[in-house]
Amino acid sequence: MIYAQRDPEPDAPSAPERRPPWRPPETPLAIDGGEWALGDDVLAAARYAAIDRIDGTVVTLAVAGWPTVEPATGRLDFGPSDERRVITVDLVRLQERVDGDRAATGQLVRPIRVGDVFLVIDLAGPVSRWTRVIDVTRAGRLAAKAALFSTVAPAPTADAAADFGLDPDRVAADPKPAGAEPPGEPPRAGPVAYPAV
Amino acid sequence: MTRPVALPAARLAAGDFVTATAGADIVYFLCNVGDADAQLLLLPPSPTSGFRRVVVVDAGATGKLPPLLRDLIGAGLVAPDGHPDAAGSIALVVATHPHDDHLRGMPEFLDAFRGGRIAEFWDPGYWHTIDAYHDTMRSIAGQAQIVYAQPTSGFRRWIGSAAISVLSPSVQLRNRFDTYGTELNDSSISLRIEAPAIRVIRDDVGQRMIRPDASRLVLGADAQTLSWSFVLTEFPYLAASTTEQAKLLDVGSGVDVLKADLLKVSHHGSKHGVNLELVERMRPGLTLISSVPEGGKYGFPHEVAQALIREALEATTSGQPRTSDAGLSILYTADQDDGSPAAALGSIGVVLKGGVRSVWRFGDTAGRKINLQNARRWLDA
Repeated sequence: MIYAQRDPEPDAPSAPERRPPWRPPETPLAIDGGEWALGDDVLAAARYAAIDRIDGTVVTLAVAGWPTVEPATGRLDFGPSDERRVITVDLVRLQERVDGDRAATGQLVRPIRVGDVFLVIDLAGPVSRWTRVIDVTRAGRLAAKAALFSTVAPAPTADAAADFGLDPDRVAADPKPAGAEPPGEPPRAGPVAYPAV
Repeated sequence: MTRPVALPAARLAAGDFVTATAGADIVYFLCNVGDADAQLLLLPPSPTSGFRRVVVVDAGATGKLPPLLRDLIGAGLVAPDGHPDAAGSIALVVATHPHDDHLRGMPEFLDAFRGGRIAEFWDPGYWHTIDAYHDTMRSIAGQAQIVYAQPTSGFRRWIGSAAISVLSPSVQLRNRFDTYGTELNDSSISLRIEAPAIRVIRDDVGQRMIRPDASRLVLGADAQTLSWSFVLTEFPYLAASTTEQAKLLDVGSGVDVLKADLLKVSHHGSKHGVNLELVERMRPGLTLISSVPEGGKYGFPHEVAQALIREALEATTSGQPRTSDAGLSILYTADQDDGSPAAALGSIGVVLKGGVRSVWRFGDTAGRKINLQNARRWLDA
């Protein structure tokens, strides 16, 4: 090995019960006029469903438990593998369902696409029977980007936070390995592998 | 899809697979993981220790690659734990693209060989929102010795006496990832692996290049028509020149940089995964397709893809009888034998030496591990 590309992240996960559920930024987590809020107990039973692929009229969803946030790294933890699965649903039915839920929460109604992420309450049976489908795509994409860039380059330490225009209190107090910032928002302006186009 | 025709069990003979790998340029495994992809290659052995280094290309299911590699270590083909060659013995892991059927088993594989065995990891840089992508990134982040890279077409990497060329994605495709301007399959890293590569020996006058008879593999990932269109233009066929000037300067000897002894067909034989000109350029001696017997969720391999592969390998005029897939050396992980009941032939192992190959089947189903002791050699007709 000629050099270390980065420092290793800590790999000893904290106890799952101590991890907070991921609360995707900019997502309507209190809906139906505020009567139905997404508390930790609701999130704990929710499912994370990401569109893995669309082949003709078949949508493949990668489904996992709703993620928690690892305090040591800020990464999303999707829980035990036995709760993961891949399901296929009809494109038109999923689109109808997502359109309805997006409209109800004031989200942009648009065609679904690969990479879209949904917080699903009661994911069982046909799409029409799912209790709630909340579009968290923006936060999901930003979290995936953060997962990549926190892997390939170290996070700034607290001492260097000001150089990046960050609040030092939001950066780990002790110098910690890469990925100390919770996912959800991308790194502020700075060098990236290639810019968004 | 056209279901693969049952292969005659009489053409399968028990043998010692591990012994058969002696002296091979490359040992290649296309694992039976159902509607997914998982491949493992053993590169040429170290001239000093004799151990081979490993390249893994995709891990679309759990439970397949880790036990296979442990068995290869146990068989003495890869350096055991504690041996100086163990560090970095998994020279390269490639996640061709982040679809679940190529990535689902990747975190398991990366975590199974912690401790310095894995040297390098490539993916196309297409951030995907599925849980397996997050888990893969976490696994890499926890192993600081792994060099992470996002290669695009034209990148070349030598590992020992093997040369690895990245055929796709074109950088033009990569620069569209963030806006979804590239369909995820077209982000795929497809590779051409050649071993032994051009070597240089010393003699009385200095250094002299030798071009050994090499084995060449093209691993197509899930690249589709758009991606292959870039490949065909970025890797042109260079016709030989017979001019005196060319002879004098030793240039223009003519080479097709897409020529392959073995082709792993892209995208499980999707109708968008290959085209006629591409397969004609590659002219593979052995064509392998990762698929399931009944076509799976997506009906792969598509009969259009099967037909054009056959046509590329055996151009026909109307009415001319077509040679069977087995006769054209087109094999499927979904193959079954003609016994009663039919038995799955499962994962495919290929031992390549100077472009000459021997093909082995392990009889495993998608959910079961490969048992090297079950290997049967596919006998040429």
